[in-house]
Order: sequence, then C-alpha cells, then structure tokens
Amino acid sequence: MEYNQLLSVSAELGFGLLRSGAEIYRVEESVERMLEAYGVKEPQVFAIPSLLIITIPDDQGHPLTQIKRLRAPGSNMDRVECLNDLCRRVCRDTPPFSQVMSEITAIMNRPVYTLPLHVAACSLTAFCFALVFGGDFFDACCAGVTGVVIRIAVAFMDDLGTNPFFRNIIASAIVTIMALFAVRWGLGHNSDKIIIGTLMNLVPGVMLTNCMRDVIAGDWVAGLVRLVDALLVGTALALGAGMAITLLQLAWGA
Amino acid sequence: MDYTKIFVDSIFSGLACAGFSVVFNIRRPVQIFFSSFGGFLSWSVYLLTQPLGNDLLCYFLATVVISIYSEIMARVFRSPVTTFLLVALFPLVPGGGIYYTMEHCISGDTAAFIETGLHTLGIAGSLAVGVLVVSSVTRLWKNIRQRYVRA
Repeated sequence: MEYNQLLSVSAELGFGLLRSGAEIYRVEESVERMLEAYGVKEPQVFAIPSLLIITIPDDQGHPLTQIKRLRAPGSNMDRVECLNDLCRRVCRDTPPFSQVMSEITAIMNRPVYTLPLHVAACSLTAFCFALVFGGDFFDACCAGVTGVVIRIAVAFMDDLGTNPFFRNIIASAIVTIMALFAVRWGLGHNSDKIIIGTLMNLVPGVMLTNCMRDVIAGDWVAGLVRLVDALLVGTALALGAGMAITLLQLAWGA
Repeated sequence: MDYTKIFVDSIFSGLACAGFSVVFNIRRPVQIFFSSFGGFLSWSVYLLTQPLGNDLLCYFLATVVISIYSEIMARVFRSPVTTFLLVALFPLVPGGGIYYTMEHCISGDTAAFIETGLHTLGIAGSLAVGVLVVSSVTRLWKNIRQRYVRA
C-alpha cells in the first residue's frame, strides 16, 4: 500500500473539513476513521483551528507525518456536509486514492454564494436585527444601508489581505460613523439600534459557540484558540465603535 | 404579554437568520428554511420566557430548545448539527451587550460598564451551558442505546 498517498489524501480531507469550519472532534474522528478503514493501526491525529497533524506508521513501522497549517479559516457548511458524506462512503467502500482525491477537489470547488448575494444577505440581517432589538422602521432602513456598505468594505479589505483585527476596527468604525450621521440628519432615530443591528453580522458568536463545543468535546487547546479569537474580534468591534463615537463627540462638541 | 409583537419580532429574527445562512454557504433551500426557523424559535422562546424574570434563565431555556431542535433536524437531514445550531443561536448572541459595555466604558460610567460587562459574560455562559447540557445528554443517550439496546 502507498502510505504516502494515503497520508496526503487523508490530510487533504481533514484540511478541507478544518478549512470549512467543522468542529475539531469531527475533523479528528473523520481522519482517524478513514485511516483505520484503510488498515492503518493506531493513527495519530491532532487538530486545532490553525493546524492539522497526522502521523501513521508504514508497513515497516516507520512513522510518517504530515502537518498542514491553516491561515484563513472560513465557514462553509455545504462543504462540511459533502466531505462528511464522502468520508462515510470512503470508510465503507475504501475506493482508490486517486478517486477520493478527485472527489475532494470537486467538493472544494463546489459553488459558493457570490459577493452581491452576501451583500444582500448582510443588509437583510442588519435590517431585521435593527427591528428585533427595538429600533423603528427608519432605523432598520439605515441599518440595511450600513449593512451593504460594511459587507463591501469587509470584502475589499479581505481582498487586500488586511489583518482581521484591523479590518474589524475599521468596519465597526464605518458603521458607527454612518449611524451617528444618519441620526444627526434625522434619517434614523436610535443610533445604537442601527449600530448593533449591523454589527451582529461581525459579532463572533459563531466562534464562541464553536469554542464551547470544542471544550465540551474535550479539545481544550482548540477551545482556547477560538476563545482568544472571539475575544479579539469583540475587542476590535468595541474599539472601532468607541473610537468613532469619541471622535464625533469631540467634533460635534456634545 | 403582547403576543403579536412577539410573533412579528420572531419572524424578523428568523429572516435575519436566513440572511446569515448565506454566510455559512448553506445551499439547499429546505435547509435554509429550517435553520432560519431555528432563529424564529430561539427568539420566540426567549421572549415568551421573559415573565420568569431572570434574563439569563431565558437565554438558557432558548438555547436548550434550539439545541434539541438542531439535534432533531440534523438527524432528519443527515447533516452536521452545527449547520442548524450556529444559525439558530445567532439571535441570542450578545452583540448588543458587547456594544453597550463598550459605550459605558467610553462615557466613563464604570459601574454601568462592569454591570453590563458581567451580564454579557453571563449571557455567553448561559448559551454555553445550554449547548453543553443538550449535546452531553445526546452523547450519553447514544452511548446508552449502543450499550444496552443493541446488545
């Protein structure tokens, strides 16, 4: 058996899951099961949100290791679902590696929503949350507009490779400035509802949930990594909004 | 209680979740509908339990309900629990809390800052415990079934 190939195929599968925002235990379990299905004894798999390590013994007992470093995690449930299905099938049928590899490539190339749809969705979310949190119709409309602007700004900064901390500060500052101006010009009535509604799009709720799920599953390190990530995003959002409010208060002498 | 308002607010919360499922690249329309319905469910449970008087308890109960809902849906659609849970949990996430905490911090109101900050942490904690309880019980149940029913 080609242990090198097995190792890289399973690493590719695990990396695909990790990159799409699957829970850590799912990544580790999937890779372990797949390796065991191909007859590897006691595969060692370790994953945290930014790293995947796999070690297997080859037929002479020499250890083979592959490390995959993940720099930009995302969230794509469609991929997680397909990779999960693929993993089940692979464990059952143990098809040849080249076939598994091409299926993984096909899954990773599955369509994602386009930017205009993301912008529309962000706007919808902001609009609805402004209403849910007690804003009136005018606030919701303002939030809808800031939602559009913020999503485009985030996409633009991501494209330029801005680091996430700075990106969140800027995004949050943009929202706050727009909301405060909207209220000053009488377009909206509650600046806080506009800001919260829009910022719900950036709030690290997903990370916090995943962090808790990881900790529950016993992956402390992964949980800590995500917790730090979530705290950093929260701090960045607070910093951005805070700076914008302070600056405008100074400028308007309020 | 004003049930019409609760219903309308929950509808909007569900719609917001529909927008959010785009972020997670959930493709199947049926799945988008059911994960958004989770958002509707979470906010309506939160609002309906308000008379209990304890905010953290409301968050906890809402989380438990949607965790159970997500576990069921995940089995129905044969897809990971996360797909439904993350979207449904979204309205409960303390985005407002984070914002108000910071606002008090900047205005120099230390007492309010600490109070809101601790409350926000409390909310995050109740969400975590809610998710924890349901997923632990599910795992326990699965193990019990494997051990005693199949044997």
